[in-house]
Amino acid sequence: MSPNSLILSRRRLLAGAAATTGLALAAPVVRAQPARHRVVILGGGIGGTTAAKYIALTNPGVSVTLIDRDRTYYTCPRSNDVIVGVHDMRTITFTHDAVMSRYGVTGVFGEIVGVDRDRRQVAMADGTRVPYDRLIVSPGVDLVYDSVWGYSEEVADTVMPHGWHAGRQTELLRDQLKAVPQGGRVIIVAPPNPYRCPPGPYERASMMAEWMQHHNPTGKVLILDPKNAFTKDGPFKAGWERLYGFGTDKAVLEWIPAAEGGLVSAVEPGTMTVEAAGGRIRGDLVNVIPAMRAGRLAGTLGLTNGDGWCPVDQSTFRSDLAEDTHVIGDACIAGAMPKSGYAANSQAKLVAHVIRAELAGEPLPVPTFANACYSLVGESYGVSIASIYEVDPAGEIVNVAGSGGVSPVDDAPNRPVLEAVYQKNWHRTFAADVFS
Amino acid sequence: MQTRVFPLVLAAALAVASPAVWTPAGAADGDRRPTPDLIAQNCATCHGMDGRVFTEAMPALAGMDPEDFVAAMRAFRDDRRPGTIMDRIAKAFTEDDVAALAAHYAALPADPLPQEAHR
Ligand SMILES: Cc1cc2nc3c(=O)[nH]c(=O)nc-3n(C[C@H](O)[C@H](O)[C@H](O)COP(=O)(O)OP(=O)(O)OC[C@H]3O[C@@H](n4cnc5c(N)ncnc54)[C@H](O)[C@@H]3O)c2cc1C
Repeated sequence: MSPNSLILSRRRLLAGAAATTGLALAAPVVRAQPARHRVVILGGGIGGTTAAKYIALTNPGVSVTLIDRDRTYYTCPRSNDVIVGVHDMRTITFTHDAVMSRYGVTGVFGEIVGVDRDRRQVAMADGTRVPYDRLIVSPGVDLVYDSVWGYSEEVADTVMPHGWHAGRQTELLRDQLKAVPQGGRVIIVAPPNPYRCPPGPYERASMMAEWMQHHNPTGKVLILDPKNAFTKDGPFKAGWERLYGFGTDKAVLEWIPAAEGGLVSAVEPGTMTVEAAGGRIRGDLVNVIPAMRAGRLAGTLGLTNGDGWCPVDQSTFRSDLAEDTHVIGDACIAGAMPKSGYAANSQAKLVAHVIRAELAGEPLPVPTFANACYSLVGESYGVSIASIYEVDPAGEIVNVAGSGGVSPVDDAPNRPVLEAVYQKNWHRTFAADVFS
Repeated sequence: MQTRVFPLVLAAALAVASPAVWTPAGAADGDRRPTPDLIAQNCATCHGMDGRVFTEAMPALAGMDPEDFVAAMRAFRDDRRPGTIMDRIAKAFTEDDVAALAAHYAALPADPLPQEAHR
């Protein structure tokens, strides 16, 4: 019996598997070296990096390995304000170095291609194998390019960026915005639910509208939406009315919901034309945010359901479809929680406590989660949503009744200004919580 | 059932100051509640790990006087203190949760943590 299987047996014992109970008791516990439980984290984005740090902090005896294809991570949070030049790429650029050096996390950098479940090894593209006892999978989202006819990764990398993975895509959008001719039109094709960062398309449209007011006063921003409602739409629309003449014939920003023909079925990159239910329209900048599903790796590992997302036990984030595997972040199905960085971070912390309880043979933690999201309607105009979540008796993550919600709209004039200040502070503290 | 340890001073302060016991809808008496350690890790996203990050807008929580902490959370909860989001967040926690959090932060060192992670 290998040292690691001792831990496995103990966990099975906890799970109440009668057959392994005897085995665990009979195992040479005293003589075995204290095995270091090996946690391997697949995906060093927001969820994965938080998991690495907090699992190491919460479980001093555990070995933690973090794997990502890149040594550099660009946060999507605040990437919309990079597009309009409020600040530059440096503000959203991070590495895993601090988490590795401060918390004893081992970093492995390269493409993950699969998991050998029999040998309990993660397979890397370069042939390296990384052994594990437990996997934490946080691969983010994959963009379903063919959800819009005529759209593809190649089109996204050249003429019609999505800007939904920060980095090169953010820079493309920034450069294309500057190149819009005076009086030109920006089209943002919003995605169907569920998707990463529900307020993201509307924040981006807002920031671009403000940019237009300063640099291209006769230009316009048009959102074409396959939905009829979106998160924080009350405070967003109130802000748009105050700042951008929303709903008037002078509007810098227009939103076309599904009910008014906003559903886009196709794009024609050659002519920069968008085919919406309401008609064909040409844009000078076309930002297509297609439908999404769990990051490709989740599919490769067999962790996705028919809809392309990962079902998990919402009290532990253990995969419904694989042993010894937790899925967190955008890829998983987490009840009422949105696909946000804050949510991914909060889920990672719960998993750190689940691991501690399981290894110590203690009752599982009572779950609690948080999400807070500030969006900019303008550089000095913020709106927010905040929630605390619990798991209901049916095992579903729900908002704690009587708490949470969006910014009130009929508000003191200083509130949106304060919320914009908080947005900037939040990004700093958040990034520090994840990456340092 | 976990036990919560908090200073007797605080327990006494609560007994005097607490007008009514607050329970968010759905949190039945006698339910096991999340540990202050886990709740606090969710606060860290804005207030810094261990409440030890300082910004213009978000106060550090480490080393905070427990009575001030409890008073602030109650004021947010009861809409007596304006906040951007704390008013909406404070309503999710019980009096016991808040007392345990107050003790948790009071026991932490109040000096700031290093947080530079930029490339
Ligand atoms: C415009 C925009 C604005 C946003 N603003 C906010 C905000 O203000 N607040 C907020 O909370 N959230 C915000 N978000 C959402 C946030 O970015 C995501 O919810 C968050 O990144 C999810 O974390 P994750 O760990 O699930 O995925 P990610 O952070 O995407 O991490 C996934 C990681 O896995 C790696 N990976 C995947 N597959 C492999 C493989 N096969 N091999 C190796 N590595 C692999 C990737 O390289 C990546 O680093 C925003 C998103 C967008 C698009």
